[in-house]
Amino acid sequence: MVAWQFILMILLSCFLLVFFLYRPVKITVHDDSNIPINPLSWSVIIVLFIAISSLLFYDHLKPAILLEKSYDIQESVSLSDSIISLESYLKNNPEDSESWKMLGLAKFNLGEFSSSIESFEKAVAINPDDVEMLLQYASVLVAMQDGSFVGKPKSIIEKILKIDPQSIHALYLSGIAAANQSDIIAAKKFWQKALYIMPENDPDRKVIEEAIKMISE
Amino acid sequence: MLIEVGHFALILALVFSFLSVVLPSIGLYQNRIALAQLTKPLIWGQFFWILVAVFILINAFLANDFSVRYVAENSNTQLPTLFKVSALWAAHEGSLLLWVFILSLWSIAVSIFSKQMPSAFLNQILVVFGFVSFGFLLFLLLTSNPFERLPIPPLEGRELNPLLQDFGLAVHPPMLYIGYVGLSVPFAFVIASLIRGQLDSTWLRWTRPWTLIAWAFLTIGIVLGSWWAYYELGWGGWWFWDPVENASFMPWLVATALIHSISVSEKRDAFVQWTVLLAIGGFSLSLLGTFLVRSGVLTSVHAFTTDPARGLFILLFLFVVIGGSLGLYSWRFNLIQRSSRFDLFSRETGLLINNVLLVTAMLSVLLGTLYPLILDTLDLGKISVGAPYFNAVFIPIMIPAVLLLALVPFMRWKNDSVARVTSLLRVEWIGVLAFLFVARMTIIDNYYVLLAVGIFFWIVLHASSLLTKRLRNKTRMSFSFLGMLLAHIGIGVFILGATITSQLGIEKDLKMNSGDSQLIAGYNFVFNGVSRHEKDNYRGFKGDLTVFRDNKEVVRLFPEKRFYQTGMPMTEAAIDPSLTRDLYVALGESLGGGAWSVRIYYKPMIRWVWLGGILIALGALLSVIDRRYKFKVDS
Repeated sequence: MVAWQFILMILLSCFLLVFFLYRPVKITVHDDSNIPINPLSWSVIIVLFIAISSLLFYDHLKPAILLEKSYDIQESVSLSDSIISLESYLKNNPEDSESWKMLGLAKFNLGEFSSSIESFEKAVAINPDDVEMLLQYASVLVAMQDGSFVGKPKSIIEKILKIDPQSIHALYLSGIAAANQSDIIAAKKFWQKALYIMPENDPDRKVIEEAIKMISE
Repeated sequence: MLIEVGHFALILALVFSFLSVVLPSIGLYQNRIALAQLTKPLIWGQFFWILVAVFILINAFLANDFSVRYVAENSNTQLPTLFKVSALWAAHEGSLLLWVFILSLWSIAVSIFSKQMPSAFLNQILVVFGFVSFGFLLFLLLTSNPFERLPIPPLEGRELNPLLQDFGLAVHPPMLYIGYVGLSVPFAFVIASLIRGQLDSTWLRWTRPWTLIAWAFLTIGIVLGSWWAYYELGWGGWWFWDPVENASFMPWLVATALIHSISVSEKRDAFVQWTVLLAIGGFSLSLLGTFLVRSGVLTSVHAFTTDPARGLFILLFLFVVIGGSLGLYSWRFNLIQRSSRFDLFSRETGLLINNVLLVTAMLSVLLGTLYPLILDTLDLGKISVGAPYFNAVFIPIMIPAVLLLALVPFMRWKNDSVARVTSLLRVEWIGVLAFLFVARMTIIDNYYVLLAVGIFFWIVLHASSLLTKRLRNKTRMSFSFLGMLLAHIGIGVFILGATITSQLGIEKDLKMNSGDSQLIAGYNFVFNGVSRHEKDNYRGFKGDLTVFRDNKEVVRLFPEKRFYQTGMPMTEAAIDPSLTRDLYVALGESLGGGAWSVRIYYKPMIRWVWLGGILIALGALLSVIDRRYKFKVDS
């Protein structure tokens, strides 16, 4: 399904060109004798070309992902192909939450956000306590909301912390969500707890330490 | 979703660029004006969608959207806002986006400021822009998409290269790109003329202000890069003959020849072949520079073979552009043949020698840049071509060119006599010789410095003489004339600064403990020790030195050693600048027991290097506002 934003962009592009096609021709002394065109037929050609070529090209440029070995496909395939194989696999194995998660991620990468969410919801319905899956679901929701944690992402992270209060990733994200709402005390509390749990040699320690330092200033 | 919108906007820009080649071409060849006139809305549409893509990518940097690979690899939450914006062009993908954005800006500017030009010709020029834009947008989308998403966003982004976390380098690439891409204007004009089979000298004049603007920005870009290298790399150098520097210097040399050649073509209807070839050469060298810097061959020729898609694409595009342009040139050769005649001693001859010398100088730089790469590619061994080669080959070629630049404005078009010019300038020549003799006898014992001082006075005296003669004769002085004088004086200022700083500069590598002092060129540098220092994006050490002259404090300098988040150490030199000399201190390593290695430089007249560059750029911009370039032709 094509996102409405893309349709709007195509319409805007077509409108601009069609408007100028119907504009009266400015003939100057330097121009040779003009042969008039049929603006309607040219408009149709241009509109069709813009819509088809841009959507086909976008489809062609979609990123490739590496499917897990369990699907017996060892090489990189296009997202469209992987979605087709995942969907056919899920028809026979609708209880495989991992595959629903993969499908959600693949659809997210294609920009099919609403069906990506549906896939994640199915995955969560089958396996509601899978912390890693919930984290990915929350990350997708945050990316879709252009970095905002408000609403569902926040409630999912809170749920993760109920299931696994020591999830470092969830503690970090909770800290960001709190910091976004200017709740500095809560943000520091989450991040300090994450630091306490993290191994000394964890490379992400530095990130969290910097975040605490920044918020303290 | 915004990121996908940015990606799709680039695709729409590509579709627009394709249509801007196809539809107006059909219109121009079938006399369907309604189609030919679509060029303007098409390039505006293309500009709009590229602008949308640029804003969305900048927004992703500002919003720390690490789900975008390019953002995650070049920014993090700690990065100051200015560098988040400049991170847009910190790496390959964003630089390419900036390239196409600037190209679309140039095409918009051409469409706005060329209303007096015959519409069919202007449309043809915009078609050439559309073609170049299509090539680069295709390259961007197929091999270098800046909107690629990461399936699982990281908690924090990587770090922007610490070398790039600097104001000088934040503004250097856009300036350089404006210059690089600006050379597409004379290129588009020449190609459009060749396609249409009309190369009118009047309209050749139209390309000169555009070329001058591109040349000015190229100069500013190169000056900013040199200034940045001076204060940021910690070695006190301002030009390294590095292949990346050479990549920008080669188009500059050709553009210099081009602006002189256009001047002859528009005034005398001569050198048209030179002008056409230089316009093609200048833009081709811009593309070659992009290929050299972006394909990875400079890091290692093997980098090209490990990720060949990008390099091959640019190489192919380079082949199409250069091959196609030269093919068109040979096809239309008869069109650009002119029968203008001039004597051996004339202004035309002077400018012809200027062209030959500048192109030879460019070829010497090209050889020195490409030769090691070719040998390495053919597995014939690794060689390093550095400053000794370039100084030995380039400087002797340029000395006659700079001597000539002062003389040529005095020569007459078509024919002149040595006797007339000699009688006109004998006072100036005797003045320069007398000055050199006195200077050699009294204060200057270095022959290179003597030569540079001689060239400086040669240029300045001739320029003053030209100005005085015009004032005395009450001849109208155009901006173009004043711009020429300023740019020529800029060359003299640059030569003086570059020679004096490299010949008379002093460099000391020292081990200093707190309280130690060192006397250099009459300045006493006292080391007060080192303290810890940190900011948002780095931690490090800050040295403290007090500089005295005649027992009076001149300045306190605080050189830094910074460690950015990746742990990469950076030397941040402390500089006390002035027009006559720079005092430059760089902090090295801790040597234990409170001792530190410290590099101190005394750099006489180094500011003149960049001052010369600024004068050249200002001269070019002054010429642009000349009345001659305001066209009033009936359309």
